[in-house]
Amino acid sequence: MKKIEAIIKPFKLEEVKDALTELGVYGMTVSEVRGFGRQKGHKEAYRGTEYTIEFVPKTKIEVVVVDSLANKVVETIIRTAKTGSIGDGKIFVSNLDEVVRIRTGETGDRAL
Amino acid sequence: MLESLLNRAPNVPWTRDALETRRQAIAAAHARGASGVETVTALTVLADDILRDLYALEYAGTFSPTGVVLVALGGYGRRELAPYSDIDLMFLYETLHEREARAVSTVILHVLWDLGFQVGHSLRTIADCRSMGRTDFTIRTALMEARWLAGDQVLFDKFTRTYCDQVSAKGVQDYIAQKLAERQQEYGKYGSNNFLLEPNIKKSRGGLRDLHLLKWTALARYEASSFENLSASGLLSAGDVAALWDAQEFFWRVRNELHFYALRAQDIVTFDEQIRIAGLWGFKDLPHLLAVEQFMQQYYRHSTRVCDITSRFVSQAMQRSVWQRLVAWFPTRRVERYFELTKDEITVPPDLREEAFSEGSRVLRLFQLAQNYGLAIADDLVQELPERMAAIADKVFRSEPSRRSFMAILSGPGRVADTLAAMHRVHLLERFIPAFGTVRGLMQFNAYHKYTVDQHSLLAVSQAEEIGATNGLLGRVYREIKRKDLLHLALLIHDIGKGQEEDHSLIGERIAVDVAERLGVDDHETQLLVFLVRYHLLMSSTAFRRDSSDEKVVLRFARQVGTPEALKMLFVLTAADVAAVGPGVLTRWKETLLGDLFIKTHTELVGGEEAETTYEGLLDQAKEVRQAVLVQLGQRMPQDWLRKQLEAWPDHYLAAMPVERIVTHLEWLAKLADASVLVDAQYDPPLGTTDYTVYTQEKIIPGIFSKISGVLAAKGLQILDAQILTLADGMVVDVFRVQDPDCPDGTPPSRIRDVSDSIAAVLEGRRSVEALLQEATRFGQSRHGVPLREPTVVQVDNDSSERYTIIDVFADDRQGLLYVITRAIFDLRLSVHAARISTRLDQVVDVFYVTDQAGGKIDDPGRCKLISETITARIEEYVGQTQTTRPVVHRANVQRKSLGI
Repeated sequence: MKKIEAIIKPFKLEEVKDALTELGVYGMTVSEVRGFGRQKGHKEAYRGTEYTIEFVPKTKIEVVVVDSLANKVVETIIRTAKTGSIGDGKIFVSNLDEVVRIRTGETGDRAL
Repeated sequence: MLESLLNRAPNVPWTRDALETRRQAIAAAHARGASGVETVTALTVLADDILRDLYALEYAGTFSPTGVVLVALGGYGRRELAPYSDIDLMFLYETLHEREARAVSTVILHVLWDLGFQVGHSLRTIADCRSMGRTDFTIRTALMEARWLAGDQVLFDKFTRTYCDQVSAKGVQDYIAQKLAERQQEYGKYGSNNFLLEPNIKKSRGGLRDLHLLKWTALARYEASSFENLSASGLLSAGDVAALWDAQEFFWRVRNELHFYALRAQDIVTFDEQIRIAGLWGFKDLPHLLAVEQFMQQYYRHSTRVCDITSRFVSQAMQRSVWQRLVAWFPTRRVERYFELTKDEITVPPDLREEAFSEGSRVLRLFQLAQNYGLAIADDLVQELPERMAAIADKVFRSEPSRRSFMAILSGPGRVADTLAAMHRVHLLERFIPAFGTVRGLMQFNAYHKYTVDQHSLLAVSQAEEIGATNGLLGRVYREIKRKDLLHLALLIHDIGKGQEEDHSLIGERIAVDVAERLGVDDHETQLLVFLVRYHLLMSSTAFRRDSSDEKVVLRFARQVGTPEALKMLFVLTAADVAAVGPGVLTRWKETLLGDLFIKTHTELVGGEEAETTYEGLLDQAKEVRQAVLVQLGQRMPQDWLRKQLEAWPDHYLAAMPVERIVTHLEWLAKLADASVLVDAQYDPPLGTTDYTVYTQEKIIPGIFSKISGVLAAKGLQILDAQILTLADGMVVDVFRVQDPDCPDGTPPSRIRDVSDSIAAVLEGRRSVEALLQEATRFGQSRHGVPLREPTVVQVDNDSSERYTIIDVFADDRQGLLYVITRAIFDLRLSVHAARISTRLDQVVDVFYVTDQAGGKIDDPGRCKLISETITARIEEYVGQTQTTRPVVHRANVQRKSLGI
């Protein structure tokens, strides 16, 4: 099983979600996050006063899928979340040891 | 004999089955529609039967039951048992009979436990009760509701007498205060707002516990054991009593259903249960209002009434200490003849009320004064208000004094939301905004909202006020908003269209029109209010779901919003609306996204970065610039003429302009004496733009700005920015920065000369703009197809600038359009002082700073309307004729000059 975390632009969430659902991803965790990467924070000026945006608002989605689906998920996220401009985000893929469904105690792929 | 009693295994007549049979019969009656009171009474009788049977059995034929009495306490004492309520029992005994009491209690309790009851029990003597009742208010409360069940009647009577005399009648003040404090703590845990979406029917605010609090207070203070007693002695109105009965009945019935279904003491009205009960009780989904929403609206109506009546009643019963009364009474002030102000209250003396409120608008004045002085309205007066208001005709609330008071309340500053909430409580708000009555207690059945529509709206106003006290961008923008009354009004009614079939924004829009008309706000304000209500979701949907780094998105949004003032209001409204959904919903994340869109849009609407210097700083700067110019030119030009020109030069222009530019302007102006028109053109290769500066005399050429625009349009140039300066002796300096789409690789000098000559020719009257335009059309440059039409929008904004009226024009781009617009402005006899022209993608967003010919703002609403209509009509007419459009160059990075206005 792979855990895929993607940091994307907030307005891309729905597009990504729809595409992943179509792919057969059954569940997903979404959170509002703030941070910075190469797109450092920036300053916005309003009537002469600068407001520093140190951390840029992004949306984080986390999905866990069977190994065979991982590549497709990553490709789909890239395809749908990409605008081509700076700050499109990143995708992190990691191996996952175990999943347990709390209600039934099922584990592994069946718990996904 | 005693031994046999202690050792005997009880011959139990009550089995679980027997109990279940009885309980099921009650449940069945409940399911068939038995009332709440029938059910709780039946359950109380059932418990009584069991206990009396057990008690009789224990004592059967053994000895006469003296010295021990079985007493029901608490809710059981009040005969208000819900299906799985605890049973509170006390075994009261005389000291000599302690062993029997212990024995009988052990047996009875065991049986009760085996039957599955939750039992609270105690063994006490009268002396115990006395001493415990004095110190422990929980025990005191339970004992107040004591009811004889079985055993020594004489002992029980003795208990009630002594207990009443020595405990209940003492320290009533402390007792009520303590009870109230306990209740406050419970609110903290179970919800201090009676509009929780999953309320605890017993402990949440406005729930059964508030009814208990009222009953305890009545018992302690007035020894009144029923609502009717309170009504008979004039402590509650007949209407209040009826409302309390209705609420109690409703709550009981719901609670019985919850218990019967869960088979345990389940007191939380969860979403699942709401849906189930609503269906069970025959509520039907309507297209616009779900069954569950109708059911919960009833719930909230009851809890609001209970909450109101109880808090009024309890505070009335809390007699103040002599000292408090003195302080409150002593510095009494009388204002406006009828209103009496004390340290923390405002009231109208009872003997003056009839007279005071014969003039209906004084009700409004009362709330306004309460707001201004930061005082609460006296409880007894609040209680009377709904009745007094019923007598006031609707037209009073449409009268000028009432409207003024209401708008003043909305403006604040301070306590706006509090005052509105107080008005809502006495049903005053809906006299101004009738639709507000229909959203009273209207729940929004989704996992997102935490409050009912009316509460959410009031909370949104209070969130806006809180935002105004913060340091960041939002706080600053709130403080900059000039018409806070309109913002607060918009917040108050933004969701008012909910609960009906149609899109609530659309219904809200119509209601906003109606409200504006009732309140007598003018056209411009009405437009703003209607816009805010209609599009209250626009900014969140744009910020959260669109790419705000895409210019097109920002431009479209800017176009819909229109003016900086509307943008500021929409920004704060959006944030306050989100914050009022529930605690913690307005995150930094959301704030940042909204702020980002706000700044981008503001830049789009205002142009460049506005110079943000203080007025003093600006004057100093202007002074320095004048001095520097004098030093440079003093030798070459007459000092008097220089000084006169520099004095006429507006300070904000001087402060924002390089000295070299001013020197250049003055050198050209000095040459102007003979020739009537001079044109200076400077090409800026890095930017690819050309500045055409036109020097001329205002008095000899009317409509300069419009004519120059016409020439530039005819030559196929795009105007990025325009500044108009009128100096001493009617000398005019107009600067146009243009881009030349036909010469993407740089504009050749011949072309610049041609344009300059044409400007001079037109201004000197040797050629006409129309002729030039026709010429341009004859040569038929390359044209693109017709783009998607967006409606033309022309807005007249008197709020954003102190000195100028600002006209914003949004339209589809066409060659020559600017000429059409400026020509219309000229025909309307307006002077253009500055303009910001931008063509982005295929949209024109033009901003004109204008005055009338006397140099004043255009304040007359009729004239503003005429301006907007005339310009719109001219544009529509022109765009309708030209079926083609100029190719458009995308210029994201063009530097725009600050207008400094």
